[in-house]
Amino acid sequence: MSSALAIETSDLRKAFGDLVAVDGIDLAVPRGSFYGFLGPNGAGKSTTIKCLTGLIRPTSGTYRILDLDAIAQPVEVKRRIGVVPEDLALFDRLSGAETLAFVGQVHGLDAASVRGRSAELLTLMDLTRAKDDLVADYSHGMRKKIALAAALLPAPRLLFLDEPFEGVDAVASRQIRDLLAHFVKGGGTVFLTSHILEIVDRLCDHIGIISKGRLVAQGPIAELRGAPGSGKTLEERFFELVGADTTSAPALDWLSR
Amino acid sequence: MMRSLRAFVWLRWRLIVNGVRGGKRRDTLEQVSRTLQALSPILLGALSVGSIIGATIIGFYAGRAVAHGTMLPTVGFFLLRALLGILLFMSVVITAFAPTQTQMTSYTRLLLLPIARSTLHLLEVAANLADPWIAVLVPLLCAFALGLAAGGRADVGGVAAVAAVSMVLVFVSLAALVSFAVRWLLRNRRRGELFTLAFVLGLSLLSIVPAIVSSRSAAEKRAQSPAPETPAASGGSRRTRSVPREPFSVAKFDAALPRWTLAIPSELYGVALNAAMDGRRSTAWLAIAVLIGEGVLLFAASSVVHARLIGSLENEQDHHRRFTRPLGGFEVPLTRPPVAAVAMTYLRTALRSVRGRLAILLPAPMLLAITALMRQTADVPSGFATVFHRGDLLFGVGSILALHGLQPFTMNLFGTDRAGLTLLFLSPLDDRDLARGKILGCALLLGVSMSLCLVGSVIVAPGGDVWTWLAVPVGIAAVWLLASPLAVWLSVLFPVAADLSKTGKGGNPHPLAMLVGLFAVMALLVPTALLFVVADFWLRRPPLALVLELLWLGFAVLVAWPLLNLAASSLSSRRENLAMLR
Repeated sequence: MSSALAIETSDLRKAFGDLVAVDGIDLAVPRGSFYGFLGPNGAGKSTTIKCLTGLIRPTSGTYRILDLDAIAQPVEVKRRIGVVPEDLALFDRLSGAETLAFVGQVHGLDAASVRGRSAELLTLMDLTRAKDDLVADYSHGMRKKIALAAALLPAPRLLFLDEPFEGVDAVASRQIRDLLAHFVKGGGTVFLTSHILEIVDRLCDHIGIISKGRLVAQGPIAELRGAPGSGKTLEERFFELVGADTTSAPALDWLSR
Repeated sequence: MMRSLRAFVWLRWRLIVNGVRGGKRRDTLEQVSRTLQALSPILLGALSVGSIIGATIIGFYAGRAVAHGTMLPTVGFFLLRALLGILLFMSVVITAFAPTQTQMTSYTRLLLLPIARSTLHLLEVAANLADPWIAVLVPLLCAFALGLAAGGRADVGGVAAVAAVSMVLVFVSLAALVSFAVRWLLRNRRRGELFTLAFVLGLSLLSIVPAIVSSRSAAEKRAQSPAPETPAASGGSRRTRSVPREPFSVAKFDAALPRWTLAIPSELYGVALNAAMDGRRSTAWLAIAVLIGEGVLLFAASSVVHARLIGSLENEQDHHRRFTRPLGGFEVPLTRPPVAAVAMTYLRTALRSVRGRLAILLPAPMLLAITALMRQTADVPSGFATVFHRGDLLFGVGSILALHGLQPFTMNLFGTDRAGLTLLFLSPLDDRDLARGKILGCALLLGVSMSLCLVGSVIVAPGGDVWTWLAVPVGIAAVWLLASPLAVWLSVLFPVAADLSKTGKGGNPHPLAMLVGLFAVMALLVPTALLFVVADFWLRRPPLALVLELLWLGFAVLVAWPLLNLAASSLSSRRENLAMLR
């Protein structure tokens, strides 16, 4: 019987020498949820994603992805997930179409399926005209879109997206948001990190907040925002939870003349 | 101005120190790897200090010897002229080469600073004083002038000092002009890659021209000289009568030079010093005036190109559309789809990079050029020269060149992918599929390069025995298979984030991996060549050459397969280090 959780970690820890980037977090990401993973810069978001997607090995702790032990069955896990990492992970000297063909073949899809799905994804991402251009010649937004297309092509059940809306224009951003909402509606799970709290507030149904490597809050977004009528925004709750004190920042008097 | 100069000197110094120090290390092995990498710049720095001290001492004593008359002035000045001429050529070539080898400084950051563009230009020109050849040249020329004065010829020393300053102006301005022009070219990725490819290919082939010219003139001399004595007439000795060589004369050399060479800065320097020594002061100062004029012209030209460089609205990224011709699918016969996908991706990305194109395109023309040279040197094919008159052997030499030319890929299988490596690690590929795909990709690259060598060899020396023609690729395949586990190990243990659009250090594998790989391939080539020699030269049975090489290949498959699996298993423990490679 499959678990109700798409991602389940127990005391997950990752240290780089003396620096503890992820300090024993227990994530519980429900299947079919749109999960926003928030935290200030350097809080450990990207390291967590790298651990969960098998790019780096956690120092200790266990974790299961879609009911699979990610350390014992890394290849099986990778068959079921799609990832848009921080650095986008693209071959500069493949064209957009070739990138999709490569991903399709590695995932064992037949040529006809790869062609059909690629054409649809390229149309959706408005990349049909640029499909034969080298990725090296793409703008940042185009790279992001082709990386997302590559992540979606094998029809994963779980998507990891590290800052998917950064550098993407308003039209593409809207298209991606609709696409992801459609994906979640169809039973898929999205695990997303973003600095744009408005997007997380609008899209996500669950959030986890990490600060200094520790998970400081997790649950349905409505619960975390506080009781109805409390009048608190997600931004205010976020500042409270990560202990951000905007009042004690240096005044920088020398800036005002 | 001085504040900016101080800031730029500090910036250069920190870039050098931080380049040696490197970034964060993740484990001991990575620390060892980076330390080894940092050794070469440290050694180079130590050597530079020694060279500067040596040049100062030599310059001073040479100047004093010329002033005292213990060294003929014409000889002393000629040596300096020659050195300056060579350094001028080198400064143009090396300066043009440098930006094609490593990453350029980002101009955007510099342009945002509150520095006038003219000041920025001046600082960039002055920065060339730190170039190793100029850093050695300045103390040499100054010490030479000082030596002349100390030796009692203060008048000539004065002229030499002003000429030295003028020469330095010419050097830094010329280096700046070339550097700005090349960097302007490289701002556009496609234009830059095309320039790099043409420049390196041209330079590699040009390097053989002097050897061809000198061997041709030697052949002409042999033809003009009386016939050599027969072995019987000389008592069985095969030694031929040597033609007495004419002693070198500076006067004759100068007389043979065309008039236009007088405009070369190093020649003007020589004219000024010779004239000052002979007491022709007006000629000396006229030569210096022309030298300064050339320096000023070069400075002005560098200013124009600098303005063009920083005023260029192009981004460092090339946003011009470039369509790639679809190369079909990612399938390779008899290969599992994931392995084929990795292999074909490796092949495609390599073929679209400067380094990959050089690795493919360079061996065949190099082979042809060496063949032309060797055929001129040896009229009658005998001994080693036989190689250059037999197509099958030529193909063998070309294949060895191809094998070595692929080192940037074979010894850095993962570091050349850069961000693409993350995509590979995120894909459902196990370690064996990944390693096999990479090795197959390199084999395909080798195949393309060897095919060009085959075509070249057939054109230059057609005919021969079909068995030996077939034995060559079989033997090379055996070497490649046996070297492949080592290639995987070295690539896993000593990865370097390489930029394949750069031809030098920026695109090189780890020096240790390159060295070990080179020796391993050389060692594996010995039995391959021996089998060939035994069958073809000793037993004179060409079909046996193919049989022996096939047996060698069979042995290679048996040995390499388990070793490759073992090497691939080392990948899992290093995936994290490789994924973090920057």
